[in-house]
Parts: sequence; structure tokens; C-alpha cells
Amino acid sequence: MGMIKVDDISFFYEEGDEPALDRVSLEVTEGEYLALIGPNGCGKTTLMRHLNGLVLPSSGAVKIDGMDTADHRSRKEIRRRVGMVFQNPDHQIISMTVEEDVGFGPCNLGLSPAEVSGRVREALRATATEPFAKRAPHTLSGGEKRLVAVAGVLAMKPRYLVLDEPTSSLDPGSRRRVLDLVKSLNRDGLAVIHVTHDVEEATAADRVAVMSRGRIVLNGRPAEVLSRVEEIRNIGLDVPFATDLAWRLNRLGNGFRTDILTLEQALSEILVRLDAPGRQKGSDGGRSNIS
Amino acid sequence: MINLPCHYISRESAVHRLDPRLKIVMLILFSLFILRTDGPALAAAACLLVAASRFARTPWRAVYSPIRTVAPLALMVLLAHVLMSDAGPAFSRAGWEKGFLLAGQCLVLVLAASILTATTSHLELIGGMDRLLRPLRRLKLPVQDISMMLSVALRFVPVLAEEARRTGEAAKARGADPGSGSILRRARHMAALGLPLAMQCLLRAQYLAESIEARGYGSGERSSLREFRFRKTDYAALAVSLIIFAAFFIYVNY
Repeated sequence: MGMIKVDDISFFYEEGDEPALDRVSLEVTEGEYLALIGPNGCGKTTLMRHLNGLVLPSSGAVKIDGMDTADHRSRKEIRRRVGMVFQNPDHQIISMTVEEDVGFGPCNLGLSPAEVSGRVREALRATATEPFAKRAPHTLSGGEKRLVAVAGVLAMKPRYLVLDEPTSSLDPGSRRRVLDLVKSLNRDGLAVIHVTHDVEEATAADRVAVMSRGRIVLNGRPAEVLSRVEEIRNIGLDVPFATDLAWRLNRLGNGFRTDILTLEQALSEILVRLDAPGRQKGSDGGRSNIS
Repeated sequence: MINLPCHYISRESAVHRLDPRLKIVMLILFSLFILRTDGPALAAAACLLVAASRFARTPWRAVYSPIRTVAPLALMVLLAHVLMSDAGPAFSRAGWEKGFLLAGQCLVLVLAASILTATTSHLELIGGMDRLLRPLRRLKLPVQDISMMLSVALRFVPVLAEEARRTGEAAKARGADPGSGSILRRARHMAALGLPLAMQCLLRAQYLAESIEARGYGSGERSSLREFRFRKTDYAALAVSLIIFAAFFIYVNY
């Protein structure tokens, strides 16, 4: 089975500087949904740019399905397999019409016009952006541009989709559309690496990795990682609302579960406790599996 | 939104649907002929162009606003020839004739070009140019990169215009008043806007280069979404224009 394997990489923008990445190791398996969270300037974007060889590590290696990003010959294939959606869609959409932009990647692969237009149609359909096919990018809203940027990457038929803060500066409606799209793409088998500093978004992932000052400091299931409330706050992030609620209830000394991410989970725990005031049911398993 | 004088106007017409390569080549041939015409032939060519623009259903505005833009230039050409022509002394009949002919040629050339740009989208124009210049690749000219640069530049014209507007507004919000003061002050204001805009452009270029690279550009032969193929109407248009060109040629030379 293929995977992205980041093996003990360090990266310096300039020699003698603080490392932007400090001995980072990370694996992403096929079909997995990984959320990479961290405060501004912690190295998230730098790490992301290593995943398709835009930047090569100063030491260590990045391998995509066994291909080294430093190997010149496999670069084209790596760029096809690891699709990258940049933070600002205006830095990514480079053609004069949406349709043409979505076809940019497939054209670079040298596909025939018929194949290219087939891929464009598919990608537009998958992102529900068909109505804008003929429009010029500067006439689209922020959310629409984001979807078009994703479509442009999907048209390459990648195995891994890397998204750098895909919902920044979007209104709640567009944000939901983008997140729903990412989730549905993941369900269809595409591995997702979702870079964000919004922890609520991270709860949807299979796994969360937390970065701080160029290092990965926490890495595990969302419930395990995000319930380490104090550590996460010290880094400069926050935890989901429901996790915070559970953590505060737990601090009252009643053994309330802390591995809670959503309000539904918190409510059901509260209801369980209301039914059984003896505290036996809501065991403190939540606390003990984090350490 | 900015509105350039040479603006594509999306309509359904036979002229719009013609192969862009054919239209570009016809424009070039037409321009060469125009430079060799006399008065009557020029008038005939102008009538032909007006007829073509009606056939293409382009609005009058789209065809004549570029002409208005170059009218001062044509006027200068006319005056220059009237005042000091090689055809005769100032205000001579020959001077007027030559002046009118050259000014008319200017206007007809612009009219022809504006019909091309009004009926052909930038995409098609660049695609057509790319195809026409393709043989030059043998000479190791980076034709593909050039057409890519052109299309990216055009894509970002509205974006940069928007950015300039925002930078200007931000300056106004902090008390700048670009519309007043001496020419020197206004110039200084323009320079103050220019620097941040230039910085933004450079930064943007860097980001764009990265995203273009990430999407696999430059790793081999590119294909195209658009196919260029001659259809019946293209052959018909080619035949008609060849006949007209032949007539012109005979008229001019014999």
C-alpha cells in the first residue's frame, strides 16, 4: 500500500537560521484523512511544500509511494499524485476561464483534448462548479474560487490531496461547502492532508498532527490529541467547544470523559450521567487512554 | 471592472466561430494590402470591414471606440503631411491627398484589428498565435512559454486593477488626496502607490510560479483543451477572402 513518508526532515530557509522544520517525521497512508494543525509560522506550510517536491529538505527524505522527491525523474509523477490546493486561490487559478484552468493540469500531463475535456467535466461535476465553467476567475466569489482551485487539482486524478487552510476567510456557508466536499472526496478514497489552525475542522479527520516551532509535538486520533487541552493552549491553539466543555466538567472532579469532540458526544455523556448518578457508567477511561 | 477599448464581445455569429488562426492570418494579409492601397481601394476596404462588422453583429460601440482612441494620432499624421509632405509644399493638394490616405490607412487598420479582437476571445487569440508560431520551435524559441506568459498576464489584468484600486482606497482612508495639488504632488502620490503595487506583483509572481510548478507545468509537451480544426465555414471564408485579396492585388498592380 502506498503512502507519504516524511522521514526525519529538517529545513533551513537560510543557513545558520532557526530551522523552519526540525527533524519532522510523518506518515500518511492511502485513503487517510490527516489534519495538520499549528499556530501561524509553525512550519505547516513549509512542511506541506515538501510533500510534492516544491522544496527539498535540508536533511532527511520525503518519499511518495516510495519515490523520493529529491529524485528529478519522478518529480512529474509525484506532482500528479500529490495534488496541492494553495491557501490563496488567486495564486493558483491562472487561466482566463474556469474551464481552461481546470484543464491546465491535465494539459501539462500531455493528455489528448478529448481526455482533457472529459477530466474537466468530471472535476467540475465533483465540485459542483459546472455553472461557472465559462466564467472568468475574477468574477467568482471567494468560496467559488476555492472550489475551482480544488477542481483544478482533482482533474490531475491525485492520490493525495493537500489543502492549505482551505476555509480561511470564507463565510460559514462556503466553508461548509468546502469541508463537505473534502469529506466526500475522502470517503471516495482520496487521502487528505488538511492544514488548518481551526481545531473544529480537525475533528473530522482520522488523525491529527500538531505542529509547534517546526516540530510535530502531538500526533494521534483527534479525541486523544485534542483532549490534551492545556498542552494545545500553550502552543497557541484552542480546542473544540465540546472538548473544552468536557474538560471543564472533568475538572470539577466527577470523572467526566474528556475524549469528547462534538456537542452530541458531550450531551450523550451528560445524559448517561443524569440516568446513573452513581458514576459507575461514565468510567474515567477517557482520561486514562491519554498519556 | 476595467473596459479596454479592444474588448471581446461574446456573440453568436459565423465570424465569431471562425478559426482564430484564419482570422489572424487574414488580418496580417489585410494589413499588408492596406499599406499599398490608394484612395478608392481604401474606401472599398473600409466598406468591406463595416459590412463584416455588421455580419459579426458586433455593437457599433465596440468597433468605433478603438477608432476614437487613435483618431488624434490619425489627425497628427494628416497635419504632418499637410504641413511638410515629401509630396509637395505645405498645403498643396498632393500633401492633403497623401495625408488623408495615410490617416485613412491608420483608421482602417485599427478598424480591422478591432473586429478581430471583438470577435475572438483572448483565449482563442493566444491559442491561435501559439499554433501559428509552433514551427518556430524548431529554432528553439520557447513559443509555449511565451503564450503561457501572455495568457497569465491577461488573466491578472483585472486582478491587478482591483489591487491598485484597493491600495488607492487604503491611502485615501488614511488622508491622502490624490486628485488635488500640484502636478509634482500628484506624481509623488502615484509613486507612493506604485511601490506597494510593484511589491505585490513580485510576490504574486513568486506564488504563481510555485503553483504553476506544482501543477506539473514544464515537465514535457503540453496538450490543449481546445482543438483547432478547419470547418466548412472556415474554408468558405478563406475562399471569399482569397477572391477579394486577388481583386485587390490586381487593382493595385495593374
